Amino acid sequence: MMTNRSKGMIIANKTICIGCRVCEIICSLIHEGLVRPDVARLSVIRYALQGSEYDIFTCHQCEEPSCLYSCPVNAIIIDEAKENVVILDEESCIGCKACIDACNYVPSRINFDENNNIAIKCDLCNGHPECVEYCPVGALSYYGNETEINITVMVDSEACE
Amino acid sequence: MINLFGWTGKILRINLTNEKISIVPTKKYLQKYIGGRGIAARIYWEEVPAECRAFDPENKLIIMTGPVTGSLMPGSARMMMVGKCPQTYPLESYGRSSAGGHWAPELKFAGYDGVIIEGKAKNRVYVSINNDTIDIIDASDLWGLDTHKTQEKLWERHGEKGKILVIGPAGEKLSRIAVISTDSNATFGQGGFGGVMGSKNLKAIVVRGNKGIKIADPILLMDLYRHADFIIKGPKKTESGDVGELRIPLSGGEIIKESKVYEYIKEGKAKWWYDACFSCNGCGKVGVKFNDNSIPSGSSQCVEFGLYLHPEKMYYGGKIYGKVAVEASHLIDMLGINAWEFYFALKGLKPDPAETLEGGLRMDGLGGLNVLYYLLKKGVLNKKNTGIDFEKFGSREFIVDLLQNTAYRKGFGNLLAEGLPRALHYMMDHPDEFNLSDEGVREIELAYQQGYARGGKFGGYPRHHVFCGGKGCGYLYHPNILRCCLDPNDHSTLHTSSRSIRVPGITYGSKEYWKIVTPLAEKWIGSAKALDQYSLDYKAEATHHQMRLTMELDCLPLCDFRFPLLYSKFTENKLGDDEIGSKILYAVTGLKKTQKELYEMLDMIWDLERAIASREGRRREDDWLNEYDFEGMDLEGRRLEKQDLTYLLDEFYSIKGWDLNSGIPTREKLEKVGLKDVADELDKLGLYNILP
Repeated sequence: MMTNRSKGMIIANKTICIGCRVCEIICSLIHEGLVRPDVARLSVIRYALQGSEYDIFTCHQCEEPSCLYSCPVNAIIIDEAKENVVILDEESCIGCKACIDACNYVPSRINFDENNNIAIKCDLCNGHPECVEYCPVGALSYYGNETEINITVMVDSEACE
Repeated sequence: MINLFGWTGKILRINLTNEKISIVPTKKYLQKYIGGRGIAARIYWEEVPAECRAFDPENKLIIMTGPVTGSLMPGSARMMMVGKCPQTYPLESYGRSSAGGHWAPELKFAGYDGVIIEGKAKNRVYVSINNDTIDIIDASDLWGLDTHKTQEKLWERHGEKGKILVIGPAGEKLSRIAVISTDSNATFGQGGFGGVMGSKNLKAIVVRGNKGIKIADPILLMDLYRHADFIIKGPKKTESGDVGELRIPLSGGEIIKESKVYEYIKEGKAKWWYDACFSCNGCGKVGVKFNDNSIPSGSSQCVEFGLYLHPEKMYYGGKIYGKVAVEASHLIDMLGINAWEFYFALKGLKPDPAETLEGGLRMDGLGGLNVLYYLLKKGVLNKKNTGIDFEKFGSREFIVDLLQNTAYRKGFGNLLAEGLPRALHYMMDHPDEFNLSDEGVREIELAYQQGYARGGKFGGYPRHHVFCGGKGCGYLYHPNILRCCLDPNDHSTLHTSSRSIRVPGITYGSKEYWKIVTPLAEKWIGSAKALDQYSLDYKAEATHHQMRLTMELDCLPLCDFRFPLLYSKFTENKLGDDEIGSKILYAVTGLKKTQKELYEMLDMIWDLERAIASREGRRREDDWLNEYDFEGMDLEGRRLEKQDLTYLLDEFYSIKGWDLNSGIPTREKLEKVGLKDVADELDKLGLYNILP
């Protein structure tokens, strides 16, 4: 089953990223009102001593969202009112982690809040992703579906196992 | 229970002697103390006795974050360390150092505002902090490893997201110039705290947490982030992560593309990258990694980056920052030695080749390696009495041997590990041991004074581009001198001073310049005369204000590479935001203070620190410089006059309410700022009896 593709997704350019983690901070501030990078909807892995390229893992709002199919309580849905973004209803989540295991990407782009025992997922901030806005060096970009072909190329170049 | 924002509410106390873990509520201090440096100083006052020596188990390592640590603000990832410093010369004393990186925010995520390390472990250990779980773990397999290797092992054990404070071999060997570092190139550099950590048998502190920091007004904070970023960088996002108008003296980002190592990068044999502390978009700190791993990878900035730039060029020729300089900057990080002690500077980044050697002799930059170079060049130090081969100065062999011998205390390095002031005085006191003539002893004294400006009993820190005699600095500006006298290890003397004076893109002293700076100077200092380098008017006031700026940065904390934001190249009126500190504090904590009220709270911490110094024996005569600094002349032929310094000290003590004769804060002043108990203690120690 193919879904209607989300209009946008966030793509990271890891050669530009400097590892400051402002994206993670902004994400947790927006969604949790806290500075708490471990529950950010994207993650930056710094290699403090080996450097050169930091890994940034963002949700790709897949056309075939395995996370959605895997959820036993239908907490992950396509929000048609908001340009088909794949969202996770935290109220309904039972914390089973099935979506995390099911994610098409490694590492999984669905994060888990250990303190509240729920999965958390990028919702593209109602079409205006703040991480993209606030990244001070322009390492994050928001793509609409007109660039779909390029997205496929870019997504494939990331480690997809 | 008050709902704390910014703070987590807990300070972790770890006693290594009896392995007891306890919690000190941060709230105990919050009524009076704004932030990190203040609370740390208060804990030191209460818990570290004056007679305690730096390497005694009674000494403590007091690590404090501030209310703003780990918030979104660029430059806020910092923490302060306070304790008895082994580096201060000739007397060990109260001192502080600060560090950035990613460790301090992680400590807050684990739920702690600070850590007090006390006692001494029976065996070699490291500490793991994982939210509420604190473990003291055997470190015998880590002992002897460099800081990079240790961190790699601990990441394997505790996960790659753990943040680690670590000492290298220098700290293990109780070097007085050992640092405590995290990642690469984020260090508690000044004070010699690495040696204190080694004396406690503590190799590392790993921290991991996921509790988050509560922010009073996230939206306001996000607005302030943009506001602060705009003042420095303007409207554009810079793709490369460069530093806009920061103009750090030794920004790797500015230099690397013109360096020798860039040839390797272009050929695909090496990679480079920008590195950044948590939430900060950088100061131009750069990392370099060679694909064949022929030298260790890592990142460096400022003095670490600049450590061996010029000596390498002098020896091998070509452009600056080749493979040897990269290796030196990474090696000193791994061994855990304070880079200032082996930093070699020349005036300007690209000196005229003809000036190169002469420049080294003129000691414009005045790092420790300049001092050694001078003495080697003069033949006072030679292969015979030190084992150091001067012919090899600038070679890879020279710097690798020098750093390793110092870290492992081998041969002459055993003396260097004590820090140059102690090493040089040992030589002067034992001329026969080093086969020194009277002339040689005089040269050593001269070299010492050139490298180390501070006189009195609490010197020992290399001058941080504070050229008191004016040599090489350009121009005599009295507030820099006064600050150098008053504060043994003020990293930001140069930084806050130049930020207060320099308006980007505007010539100092021009009509436009005075138009921009005058309202600001009148508002905070009383008169724009404070910025006029040719008079003594308002210089004590200017010093006082600069110290406030520094205290604000140390307490909130914010990085002095980025703040204060007094002026801007990008705003219409060229002004930055002189009240941004109080705004950030409000957005993060909800604490509503005007900037003036904030400064008044911060001023009190100076009085407390001065009381600590007084208790440890600091008096007015210690706020003085070595003779050399009254002899040099600046570029306009002006000299620092002793009577001017005397006058300014009088003025400064009067502003602070410190006794003019002794320099001790008076009872009246301490009581006025709510430190009656401190005054009582000073009284009990008889300190007020010596007043006339």
